[in-house]
Formats: sequence, C-alpha cells, structure tokens
Amino acid sequence: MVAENRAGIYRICLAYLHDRSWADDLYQEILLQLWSSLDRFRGEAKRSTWVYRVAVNTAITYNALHRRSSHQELPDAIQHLPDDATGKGQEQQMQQLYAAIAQLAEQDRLIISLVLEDLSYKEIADITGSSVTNTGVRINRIKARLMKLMNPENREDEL
Amino acid sequence: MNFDELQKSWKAQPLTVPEQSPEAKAQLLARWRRQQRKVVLSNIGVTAAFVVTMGVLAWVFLSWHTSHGWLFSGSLLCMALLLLVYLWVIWRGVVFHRPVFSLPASAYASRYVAALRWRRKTITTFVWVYMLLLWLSLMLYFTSVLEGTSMLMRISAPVITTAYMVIVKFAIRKKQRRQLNETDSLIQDFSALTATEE
Repeated sequence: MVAENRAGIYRICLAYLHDRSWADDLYQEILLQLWSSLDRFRGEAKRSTWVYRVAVNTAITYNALHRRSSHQELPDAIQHLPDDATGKGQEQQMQQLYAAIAQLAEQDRLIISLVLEDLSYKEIADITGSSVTNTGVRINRIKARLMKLMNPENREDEL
Repeated sequence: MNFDELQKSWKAQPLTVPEQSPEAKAQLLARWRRQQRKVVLSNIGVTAAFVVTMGVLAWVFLSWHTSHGWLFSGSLLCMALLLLVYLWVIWRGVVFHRPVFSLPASAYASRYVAALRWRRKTITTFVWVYMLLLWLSLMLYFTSVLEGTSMLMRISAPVITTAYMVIVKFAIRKKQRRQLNETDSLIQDFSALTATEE
C-alpha cells in the first residue's frame, strides 16, 4: 500500500516544503505515521485516499511543529523564474512549477499537489474533510492562481 | 502551457525517492511509538489513581493519627512513599524524545534501548518489590488499626488483602508477559538496526 504511493507522497512533500532535506524528513515522518496507523485502516476509503489523508495530516502537523514552510525567502535558484517557459527542459519546467506552488498558501499547496497527483475531487474532499462542492470551487481558484503564476505575462501583474 | 500538460509533467518528473530509511526501520519506529503511547497512557492512569490514593492516605492520617501510635503513621508514610517511588519508576521508562527519521539509529537507539531495559526491569523486578513492600506496609497498618479487635477480624483482613494482591498479580501475568515479549523484541531490533547501520 505504501510502496504504490511512495513517489506521489514524496512529490507532495517537495511541493509543500520546497527544501529537499526537509522534504526527506517529512517523507520519512509520513512513512512512520503510515506504519504506525496501518492497523487503523478499515477499508472504508480507497487505500490511496487513506494513504494521502495520513500524508496530508502528517504534513500539516509536521509543519505546525517545525514551521518549515513559512520561510519568507525561496532559494535563489527558483525565486527568479525564467521569463519564458516555452521550449524549456522538463527539469526547468518543474522548477518553475515548484516555485509557483511555493507562492501558494500552505493548505493550497497540499490541495494542488493532490490535484496534480490526479486524485478526484471527491477523494480530495475526503482527504481534506470538506464538501465536494467547496473543494471543487477551491481547486478551480488554486488552479487559476497557479496558471497565472506559471504564465510569465500574468506573473508581472502578480509581482 | 495548460494544466493538463503540467499534470503530465508533474507525474513524469524524474525523482529520487529517499532510500535511507528502509521499511524495516519505519516499522520498528512505528512499533516503538505504539508501545510508547500505551506506556504513557497507562502511566497517566496509574498517576491519577495514585494521586487519589494519596489523598485518601492523607485523609486517613489526618483523621486518626492522634488515636494511633507510630505504627499507624509509619505504615501510611511507607505507603505514600512507595506510591511516589513507583510513579518515579514508571515515568523513568518513558522517553519524550521523538525519533528523527533521517538520523541514523545510533543517534537515538541507545536511549530507547536503555528505556526499554528499564521497563523490562520494572516488570520483572520493581513491580514485585513494590508489591512486597506494599503488602508489608499494609500488614503493619492492619496490626496498628486492628489492635484490640476480634481474632477473626485480625486474621481475615490480612488474608483478604493478601488474596486480593495475589489475584491481581495473577490476573496481570498474561499482560506482563506480552509486554515483556514486545519489549524484548524492540530491544533486539533496535540493537540489530544500530549494528546494521554501523
């Protein structure tokens, strides 16, 4: 169950905390929480939904304890986004995406990571404990903001 | 660039998921946390019960110490001290430090193994010593308060108390064996993990 979602969990950690060493630490913490609470999984939700729910809750708790996503400055490498995103390598595009996600609110970072992981609105609503309608509205708002941040022309207005 | 393209890139990004903490380590730390949680909850319960008991002991002492001799006061004092020492013993077996997963096991394993060994000693030795001393204190207490009462009273009170303590000890035997097995297994696994990482 954990092995199937390892990559997804790690991507969420990276999106949430930016810094690889912190993300590594959070990732390990999530694995630990998953192992600790495995006996509480009753099969009421999809396995992946349960795994992501534990991951999201652990990330929030971890951040509340360490305040690692609240730093003001982003690393230089991703703070100055390239002016033109077209024709760039995947790595650069990902760097730009992580930089854009880093500018979102803490909760929004988690939600957009779940959307990028291709989870349905219902699954995300289950994970975050909100209604499907509210989740849908929120996701659309976050998507729009993310696309604005990713788009160089619109970003100038934002900055 | 639209969102669907972003989503595709997101899932296709080359990623090195950290491997430094294998599942065996995660499972071990999860087991440690589970046991730790149980111990803390149990200790909280015992502490609450002992606080109430000490209140009762204080009330008994303040109400009747003038009409009884030193044996009465001494036995109550012994019981109160025993409760305090026992609370110290059980809380000493708790480690409040949370494991940092990314650190090597050697950074925390020795502390955990020491706590586990202390818990083991608590079950195998301290509980017995505590019960024996508590029994002795109770016998002294009975000797003091039952002085001048009928023979039946002087015999039945210690016998019933002794029987109760034996039954309690017998009833928790299985639970203690389970705790010992889990503790031994954790000690063994933490030692093995430290040795592997070294």
